[in-house]
Amino acid sequence: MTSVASGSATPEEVRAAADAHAARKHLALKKVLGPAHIWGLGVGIVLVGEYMGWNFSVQKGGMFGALIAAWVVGVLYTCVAMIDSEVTSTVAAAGGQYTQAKHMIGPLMAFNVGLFLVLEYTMLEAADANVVSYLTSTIANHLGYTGSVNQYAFIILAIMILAFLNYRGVLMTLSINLVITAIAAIAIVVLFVATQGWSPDAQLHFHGLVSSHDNALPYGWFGVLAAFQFGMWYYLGIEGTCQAAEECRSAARSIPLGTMTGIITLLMAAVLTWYVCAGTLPWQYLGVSITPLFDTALVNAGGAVATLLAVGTVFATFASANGCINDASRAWFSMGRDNYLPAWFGAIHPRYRTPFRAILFLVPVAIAFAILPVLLNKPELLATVITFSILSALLMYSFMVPNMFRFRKLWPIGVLHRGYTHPLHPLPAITLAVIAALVLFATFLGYGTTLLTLVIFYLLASIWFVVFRYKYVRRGQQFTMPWPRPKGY
Amino acid sequence: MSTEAVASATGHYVPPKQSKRGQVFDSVFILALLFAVLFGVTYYSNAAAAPTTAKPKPLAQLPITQTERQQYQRAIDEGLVDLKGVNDQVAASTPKSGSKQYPINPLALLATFGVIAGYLVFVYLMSFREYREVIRERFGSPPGSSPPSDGGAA
Amino acid sequence: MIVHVAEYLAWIISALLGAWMVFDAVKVSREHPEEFLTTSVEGTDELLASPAAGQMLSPTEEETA
Repeated sequence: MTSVASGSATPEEVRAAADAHAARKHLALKKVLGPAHIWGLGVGIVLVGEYMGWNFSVQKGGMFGALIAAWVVGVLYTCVAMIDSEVTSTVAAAGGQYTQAKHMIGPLMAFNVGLFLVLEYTMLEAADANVVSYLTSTIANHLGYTGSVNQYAFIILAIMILAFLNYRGVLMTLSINLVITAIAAIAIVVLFVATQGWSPDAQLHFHGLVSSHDNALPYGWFGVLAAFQFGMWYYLGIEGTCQAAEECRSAARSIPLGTMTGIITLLMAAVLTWYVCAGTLPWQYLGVSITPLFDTALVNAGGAVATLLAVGTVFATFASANGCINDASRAWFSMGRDNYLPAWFGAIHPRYRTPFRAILFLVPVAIAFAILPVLLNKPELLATVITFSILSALLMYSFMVPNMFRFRKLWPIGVLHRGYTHPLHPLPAITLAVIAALVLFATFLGYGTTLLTLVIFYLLASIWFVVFRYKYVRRGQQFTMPWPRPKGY
Repeated sequence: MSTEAVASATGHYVPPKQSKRGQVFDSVFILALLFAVLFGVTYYSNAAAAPTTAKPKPLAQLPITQTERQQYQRAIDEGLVDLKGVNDQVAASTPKSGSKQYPINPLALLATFGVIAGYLVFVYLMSFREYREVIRERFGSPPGSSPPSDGGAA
Repeated sequence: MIVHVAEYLAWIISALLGAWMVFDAVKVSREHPEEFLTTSVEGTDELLASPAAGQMLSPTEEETA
């Protein structure tokens, strides 16, 4: 593969080439997605974070701690969305950030980023499945059932149904995601309306709940910093939109549009969620609640609104697990395709055109992580599973900084056709670096051992890759983009 | 297990084909490593605060604001939490006087960020080295230089 | 009572879905040669350079497709 293609490809050229390509007998992922699917994928993975998880930041830093975390981490993710939109509108591959790393930094970094992706999404999926099962037993109890519900059954059922959906095709998978995500997002707005959010003293109680040092900033500014760790949960996963690039009809258009509207949706959902929850629940309770939005609806509105939020919680959880299976399998598949992992995983189903082996293989992995908290009878392990996911994501964001700098340096603007060019470079990259470092420090405060162990895992995996695995990788061929030689090499 | 890697006529690296057994082993290995590390840390790092065993105090006696009391009562009415749960939550979230909420062990901090730094340095240096090889094979020798010289030009 | 039924149903459905996926994956892997299943190439843009991708197929794989 020595053909060095012309520097820039317009969307028209790409489409024409795709048509010619379709005539060829040769498998490829199905190109069927549009911007709305990308929005559904990005927001769908994340929105569960509004329904559960973000509120652990209240426990860490109080009510204001959680709000400041929503803002600061919101800035972090805005930078992530901007950087990802630009790079992915050019690197249209299922591996997303993994493929970016391969083209911008080098193979070992790419291997690490691929693992970050798989771990981030598989852990998140496991946490989601846990919540599904928790909700099942909660509903059973509300229906008057007093015995214990076998949680394994429902955790595994949730994962199986979604894996089946993913196995059978990406269009149906992400269309369903779009619908249930939209319902879950609308439910938050309905709750805001039902609690008369525009009139803060009508049904909300900020005076007594968020007015003193004890509940607003109980641990001072250090607490605010510690809250950043779970503030990630408001937005964690929006960068997963990149994983669908290879399945978009036009990645250069769909990815920036879907990602940007996605992060805007999430920024609004985050502050709305904080607002209604902080005005309803005591911070001591909110900080440990499993389903804060549903609890808020139950306490403050009841009736149909509570039912809607219960539905929203279930839908958000399913959408998230669904998107996670989609993204984790794409990353795993891409690594298999390049021989970074066994080539067997690089297969595409001839009929459904999905990376079926990668999807299937990750099912037992997700189940193993999901049943861990039940097996050990430690519900608080949910927070640890979340930390695994957050840390892998954080390491990936830290990679995006040099990635962005090198992308602009090796292929300056004008050399490549970019579907989207983000403004103010290098400000977003620098901001991202600073906030990511802060969140890493925040994670150290709460989960120092976990952080250290996880980094050691990645270090060991890296050494394994260099010593035992890289020899199976074709060197020049893994550079797949038809770009000119990088500047300076 | 696998044939040795050879260099093709054009000087390109031709990887060996991995055997079925090797593929299975590699898949299992990376997962085993993951589970070993993560299950280990899960057991090790989860010393959750023990719930209070004392008899739960009524809401009126807890050190919380009037509004918090009122909202807690509504949460109890809705079956979200019981009085004992409230006691545990309030006890867990009362800042410990005298001691810091987030103590920092300088040694642990140094060790953790030392390991992170070491990890990043290793990954980036190694990646850049491998990247040069990728570019050389994909695009040929750098313009205006002599034919490719092997030996880890980093 | 209904909860127990739901539990059993959950187990049965999970088992069926899992079994079907494994069965289908094995079937597909038997029906098609490995080289065909792994013919995909990365990205959209590289379609411009697709002659290289085409060369990766041997005649036998063209027939099975």
